[in-house]
Amino acid sequence: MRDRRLVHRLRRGDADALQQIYHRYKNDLLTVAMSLLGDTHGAEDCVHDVFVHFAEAPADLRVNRSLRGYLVRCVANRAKNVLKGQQRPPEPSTDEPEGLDCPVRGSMVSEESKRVFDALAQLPAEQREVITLHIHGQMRFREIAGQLELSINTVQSRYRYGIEKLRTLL
Amino acid sequence: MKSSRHVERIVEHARLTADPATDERILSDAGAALVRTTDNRPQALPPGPPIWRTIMENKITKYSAAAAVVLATALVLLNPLGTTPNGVALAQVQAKIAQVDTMILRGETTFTSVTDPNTTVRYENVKYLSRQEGFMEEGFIKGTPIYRVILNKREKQGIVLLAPWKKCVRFPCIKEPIQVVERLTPSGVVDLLLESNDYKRLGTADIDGVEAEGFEVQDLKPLESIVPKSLMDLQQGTATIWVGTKELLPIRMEADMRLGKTIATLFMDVQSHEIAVLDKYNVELDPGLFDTRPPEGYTELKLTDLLPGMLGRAG
Repeated sequence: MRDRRLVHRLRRGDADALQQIYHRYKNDLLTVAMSLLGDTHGAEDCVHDVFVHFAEAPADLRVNRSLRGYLVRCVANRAKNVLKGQQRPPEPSTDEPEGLDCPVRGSMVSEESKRVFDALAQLPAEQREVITLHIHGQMRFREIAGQLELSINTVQSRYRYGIEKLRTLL
Repeated sequence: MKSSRHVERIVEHARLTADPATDERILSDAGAALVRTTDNRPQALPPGPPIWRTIMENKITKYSAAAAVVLATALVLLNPLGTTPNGVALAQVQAKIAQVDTMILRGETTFTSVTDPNTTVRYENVKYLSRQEGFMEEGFIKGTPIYRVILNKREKQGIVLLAPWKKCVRFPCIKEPIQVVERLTPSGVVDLLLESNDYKRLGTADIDGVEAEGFEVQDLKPLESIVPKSLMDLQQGTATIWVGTKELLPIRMEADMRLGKTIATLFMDVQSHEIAVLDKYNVELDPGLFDTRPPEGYTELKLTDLLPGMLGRAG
């Protein structure tokens, strides 16, 4: 079912539409949040808060174009606020593998992905943000520039510098 | 050193994947938020964890939460006494049950996710029914107390106790909960029996050493009138009840129900199977069983903390 139709149903309080939207984009959004925050539980909380807020005001949704893009922007904004509140950059993850009898907590991340998230955590926040929005958020540089209220040249140069640094880290 | 293009591809392939516990936590809270919104309640609760978040973060409590919430929401909506027979000499059964003042039932409830049969919740329970005092049900998982629901008719007071978290919720037990209880008392059961005409006789059988006659009911619609659909979406169900041919009392009941997504099923389509066996009747019950005062060390929550947005519909 198309996103527009799902949003329409959601505005009428359809719980099934909410679930479909969640399952369609959950991993994309968790990945964006993880890239920005560098913390599994922080990423889950971020997506949690966005979806609760999303469900709380379905009638007020302003999804003009892409629902995915809208949710990505919500997650990015939420992550930014979290980082502002923390006043510190994300740290490389220290999550340990869980035993079968441990309480269930934490989404799943492969070793290779963990290495990438750790590398992203070492970038300056502004470079990490642009790379995340462009690669995981699938946003164009022009959209990112609009979102962050920056010139497109600034966005592109942050991206370039960030990728250069990642070349040395990965 | 890798090329920029290669690095971009590596970054692109990095993923964080939600596990089922995360799905449940987010969908529970978001679903509850959606219900609050569509209920158009002016004093919407802030988004966030409260009890649900705590529950969902732990495997054990997550599983037991289903049991607690089912009880708290529907007030024994899956109670075996809510099923319907008809028969042998129904009038005689009715007359016999009318003489029963108290009843103790022991049983087991199993919920299985329709989409993921590996997701199963099973808990044992014991129910105390008293015509004068009210109703008490206690649930256990592997012998560990999980929840207790008490509806006190004299005090017109109800309480739900969640033992693993030492939390409780008190609520006035004025009209609807009492009506549910009335439906679950022996006389209420007979009323339900009489409402159903669509049943099949199963003949006689030995049930735990007692000769009994069985009845299978295909239509559980009378249950729908007890609990709002927003709390229990009963899509289909069957029930079997065995009545002792000598005692003329229900001695064993089983119910299979397909329930749609509501907060009571943690937003899953589930198949439920419930068994209840009459343990004792007309025995003296300790009035303390129906004490609705919170035990020492328990923190009191509002009912909306546990069931955000649901109460408006429940009435």
